[in-house]
Amino acid sequence: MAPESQLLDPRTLVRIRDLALRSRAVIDGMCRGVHHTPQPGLSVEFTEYRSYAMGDDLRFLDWKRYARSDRLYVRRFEDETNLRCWFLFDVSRSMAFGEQSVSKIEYGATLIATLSYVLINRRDAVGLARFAERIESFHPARLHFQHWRRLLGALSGSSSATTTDLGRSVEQIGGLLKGRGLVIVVSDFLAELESMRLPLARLRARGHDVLLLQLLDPAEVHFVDDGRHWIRDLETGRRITVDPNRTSAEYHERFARHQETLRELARATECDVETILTSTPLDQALSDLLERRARLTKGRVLRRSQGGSVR
Amino acid sequence: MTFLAPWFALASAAIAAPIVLHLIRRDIRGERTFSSLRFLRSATPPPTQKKRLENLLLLLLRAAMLILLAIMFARPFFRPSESAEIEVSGQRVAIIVDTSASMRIGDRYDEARAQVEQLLDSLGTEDRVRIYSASDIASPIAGDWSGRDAFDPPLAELATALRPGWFADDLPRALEMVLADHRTSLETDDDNAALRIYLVSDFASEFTPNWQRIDWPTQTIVELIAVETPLRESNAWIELLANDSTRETGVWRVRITNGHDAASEVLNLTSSNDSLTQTVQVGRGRAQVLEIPATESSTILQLQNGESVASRLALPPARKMRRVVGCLADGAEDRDWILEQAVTSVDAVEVDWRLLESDDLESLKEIDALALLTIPPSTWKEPLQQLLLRGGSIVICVAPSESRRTEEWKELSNSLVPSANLELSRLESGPGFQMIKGVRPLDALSSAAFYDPRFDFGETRIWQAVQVRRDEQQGVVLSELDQGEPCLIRYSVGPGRLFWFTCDWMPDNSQLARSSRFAPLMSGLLGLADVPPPFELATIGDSSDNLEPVELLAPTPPGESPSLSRINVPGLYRRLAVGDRATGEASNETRASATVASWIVAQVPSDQWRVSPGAMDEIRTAGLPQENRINQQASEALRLRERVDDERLEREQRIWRWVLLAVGAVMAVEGWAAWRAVRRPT
Repeated sequence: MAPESQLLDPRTLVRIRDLALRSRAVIDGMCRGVHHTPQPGLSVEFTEYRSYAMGDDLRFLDWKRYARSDRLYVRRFEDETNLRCWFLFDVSRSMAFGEQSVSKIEYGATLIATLSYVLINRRDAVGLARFAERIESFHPARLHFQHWRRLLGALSGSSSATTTDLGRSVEQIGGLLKGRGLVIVVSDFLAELESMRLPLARLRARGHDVLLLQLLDPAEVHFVDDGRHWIRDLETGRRITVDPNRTSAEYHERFARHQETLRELARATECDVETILTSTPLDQALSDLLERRARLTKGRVLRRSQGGSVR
Repeated sequence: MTFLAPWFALASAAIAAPIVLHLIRRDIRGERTFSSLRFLRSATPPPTQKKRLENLLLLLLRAAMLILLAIMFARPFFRPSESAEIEVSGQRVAIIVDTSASMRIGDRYDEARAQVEQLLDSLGTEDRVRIYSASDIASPIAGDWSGRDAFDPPLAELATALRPGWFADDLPRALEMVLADHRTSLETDDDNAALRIYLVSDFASEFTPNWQRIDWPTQTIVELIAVETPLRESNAWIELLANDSTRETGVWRVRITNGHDAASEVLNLTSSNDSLTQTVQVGRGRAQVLEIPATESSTILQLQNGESVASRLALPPARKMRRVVGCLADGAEDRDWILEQAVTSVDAVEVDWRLLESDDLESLKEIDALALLTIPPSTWKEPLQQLLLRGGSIVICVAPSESRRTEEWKELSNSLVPSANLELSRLESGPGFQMIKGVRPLDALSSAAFYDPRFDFGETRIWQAVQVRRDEQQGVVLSELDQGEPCLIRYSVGPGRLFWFTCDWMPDNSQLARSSRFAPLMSGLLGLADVPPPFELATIGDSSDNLEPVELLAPTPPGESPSLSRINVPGLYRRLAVGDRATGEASNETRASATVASWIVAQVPSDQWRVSPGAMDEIRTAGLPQENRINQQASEALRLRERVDDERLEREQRIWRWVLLAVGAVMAVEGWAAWRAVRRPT
């Protein structure tokens, strides 16, 4: 592993107490490790024509096309306003799990801090909501760095809630958001998912882009147990012992089924889902995420330009 | 390898501790947190599958260390081959067959013989067998322990020789005799063979502590073989009960017992002289006491159960317990009245007191004892001699006032005891008084009540007495006054006894009449306290002198003399009077005149009629050396000797030092292995 990559190793990174410093380190690493991408400045890009209707703003009439075809068309553009992005951060106790790497909550906090820095730097507004059983704190979207500092302070705390209620939290955040934007749900999603279906659909219906960013510890993906320990649930405190002969296969089967449910839920609600292991270096994870998001956005634009449906 | 303290080797069981600890370490050690249990199912880890021992090398080393320590403390040593245990080849077998009276019941004895035959068949060829018959003693019947030849028992002869007798069994005593025989034979033959004893018996007798007192030699094993043949219809028996002085003497009390599995409850009781025919109903397992009128002659009672005779009992003739005592008074009424009061106060016998006149010769023939308070007429000479020859007693009491009739007294003395040469004179006690010294305990007065130390005459004062001069070769002075003058002289005339009493009991002459000792003394002199009981009870095997069988219920054993010293057969015996023992031909004449001192009814002990073995369990728990159990006491000595040898060997070899060295080496390796195990990442 390269020295810079070693620096951005999550275990190394969490040693930096200051979250701001930590996120800048990620950004620096990310800039060095990823090919330079053009600054996104697509807010004035033309998207399509639409026939003029009464009441349309005459400023968007395409006079040249009118001259050519003697028909009135209105030009439509991508939203020119800055992106509003809300992070819905799961701070339940299960997020404190980190057996083989950093805890998910530390990883997620660094991730959110870094992304929000990037967004604010891009003149996008960033908001934050912390949740476990319900929304615990909410910070509306702002785009100045002072707000970013406040977000960093909010990211540091943890919750005392014993359970995670994704559906309720998403439902609540739907009522708090104003305008449309990008909602990034940062969680391990190791909870009941079905309750989230309707709130997600509502968010989507309001025009929000929703990204389900799942953070998982490698031990959760590759669960192994020798049957020699009590296993205690971080949220409920319940202790069990397992049969090591059967548990591993059963766990992987159930976990795969859960992940499939999550993806099916994302498909059904037209949300995006990304899974990041906490063992993945943060800069690489962010680069990959942003790259995938860029590709995804470009693909959608292309599909729209080819006559696809416009969301 | 042998251990001097092998119980320390038990400490090697401590290796279970490290094994358990190693197993325990496989159990749940701690806690592991996890984000969510929603994909996990609670289950108990299987206890066995994961119970593989961790750090096997470490475990082995620790176990080895513990075992070595245990071995070290057990003090190991090697015993040379020459000190190995002595092997015993062949064994001595003693088959003891109970031949007591109880073996006569039913088919017990046939079964016993069958058991003996089976035993003989089952013995090995090298076994040396000796067969004993046992009742109260053990008698060898066949076989020899000294020879190595196989025993070929002549069973037909054996069956003849082994017959049940009438004796009670005393199996502990019989066993001791067999063991003594065994010990003697061991010393004689220089043999070390083990002894196996088979005791074939019905074990009818009660358990006695004698079983626990038997000194068992080493390598002795006893096996009890019970003969249990249920009784059929002959299990009823009749017994004579002991005397009861409160009851009339003309009645015999008998007890009839019916067995638990008797065929009938109705029994017939008949006597041999046809004086009694009675039907008795006795329930099964119950007994009934009957009073049978005594007859003048001896008789045999027969108890019949249907047609078969169940039991028989010989009874003595009725014994007279009434005594006629005559008294020839001297005219002083108070003197004979005091004597009468003293004599008739005796409880043991009914006294018929008769005051005789000088011409009352016929009455003399009826009396058993006579008190002469004065000189009888000359016509009494012959009746008095006959009275003495009948075994009667004559007490001559000379009052001091009549001591002057010296010649007449001398004539009376000579007529009764010609060699006595008695001369009487008045004895004055001078200014003081005389006292009677203690009465000598002689046979004639052996049963007199005044013989009791409480009746000592030491304090009885005499003021006037009669002085007697006599031939000192004749007669026995039973008591003296304190100046040495005879007070009481006894002469034996045939079976009869003649007493001269030189002291008067009147208050003017002595304190005798007011003494509580006077009545026992006079009744003893008159033979009233010496009345034998109507009979004595004896059991088979009892010994007594001068016995003569009268009515036997079984034939007299061959070779036994008519006069026996030991009762072998149930029946009626009589014991002849002491001093009349007949010896040789000359004794036949005296035998004819001998009197019966007592009748003896000899019976089979009642426990011999028991139906089932009664003491088997108690005997088994009384320390009998049974199979695979060597006698503790004797083997203890052997163990002690071996122990001394072993300690010497252990001191010489000192193997424990090498074991200690090995423990140190193992400990070092274990430390290294433990260090490695700790450093090894899990």
